[in-house]
Amino acid sequence: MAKILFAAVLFCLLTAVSFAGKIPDPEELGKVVLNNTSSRAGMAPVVFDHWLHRAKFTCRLCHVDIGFAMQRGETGITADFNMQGLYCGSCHDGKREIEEKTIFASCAEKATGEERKQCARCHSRGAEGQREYQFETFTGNFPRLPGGHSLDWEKAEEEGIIKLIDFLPGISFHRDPLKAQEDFSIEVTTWASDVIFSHSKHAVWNGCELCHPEIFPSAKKGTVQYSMFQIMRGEYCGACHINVAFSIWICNKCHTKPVR
Amino acid sequence: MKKIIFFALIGVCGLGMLAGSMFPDSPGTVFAADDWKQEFAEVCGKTQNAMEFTPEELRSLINRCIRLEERLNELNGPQGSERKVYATRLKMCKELYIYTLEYREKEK
Repeated sequence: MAKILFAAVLFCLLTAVSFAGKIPDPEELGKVVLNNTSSRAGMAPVVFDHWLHRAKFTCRLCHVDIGFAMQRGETGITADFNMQGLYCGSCHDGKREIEEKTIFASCAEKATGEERKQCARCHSRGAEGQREYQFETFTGNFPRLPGGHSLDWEKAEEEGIIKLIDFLPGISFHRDPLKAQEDFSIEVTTWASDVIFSHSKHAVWNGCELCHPEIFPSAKKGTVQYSMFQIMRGEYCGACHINVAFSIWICNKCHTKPVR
Repeated sequence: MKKIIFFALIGVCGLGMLAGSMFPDSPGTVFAADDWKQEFAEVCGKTQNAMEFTPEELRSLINRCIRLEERLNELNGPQGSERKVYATRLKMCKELYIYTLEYREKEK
């Protein structure tokens, strides 16, 4: 009886928290505002939309091959680096073609007149004008997760709506195909059902080094107990699943094993 | 007799070169200007197979990563700005191999 009562109280608490911290707007999910030096240079801060880039590229390409850190502010992007073809400049160099389209150059020594309008494509926080790609238009035909709120990126790829690029000439190097990984179960010690973790789904987009050991440091299964409190703080699964990937509030995306 | 000694010396030199090539981990590996990128691609291009390697192979890869780190620290000029990016990538690659080695050793 006590256990049932405890479970009921916990469920209510979690429900209350889930409404209080509602599932983020998909357009806002993964939005990063960068202001290392922009304001000091008299420019509006940069607004980076994850949704646009993740519709084109794997996580690994940007976060391993190009070298973007997983935490805002840790990469240290500057206009100088961009102009040297690093970081944003890896693609945004005015020469690289992706999907038969030349990617506009980011940053310039001096930008005047019409060129300044190009700066506003990235330095757009609080700036007037419309960005080239609008979320609703771009993702209009994307499948949605149950509830109709969040995008189902996995299904979008399965259905061929998006085809992710995992290799950038001059930046990436060839890797052998990843060997198929088996799913495994993570035992949950509370009222929720066990988690079925798909290594293959994660590794296809992230590779191995994005998660190991920085996000998941333990080399032996079962030695670290992950808690939802840690995940909600951005640790472990929360490194991606509160910022960019589907929200942790869609419980049955992970807790898929039938209750014992 | 002189011919025998001459060919014997050539043979010894050849064996020495062969022996040297069998031990790529020997200290003092020097990278030419851009060879480090090729070595980088070779070492860090194997991360997807990390779980397939033996502990000895993983240790060898880790050692190659360490030598690459030393090489990166010497980069100056235009390549100096690449150092930051490659250093990050190399760190991820090395740490994955260390992680995998730890996993392998715990398996025993």
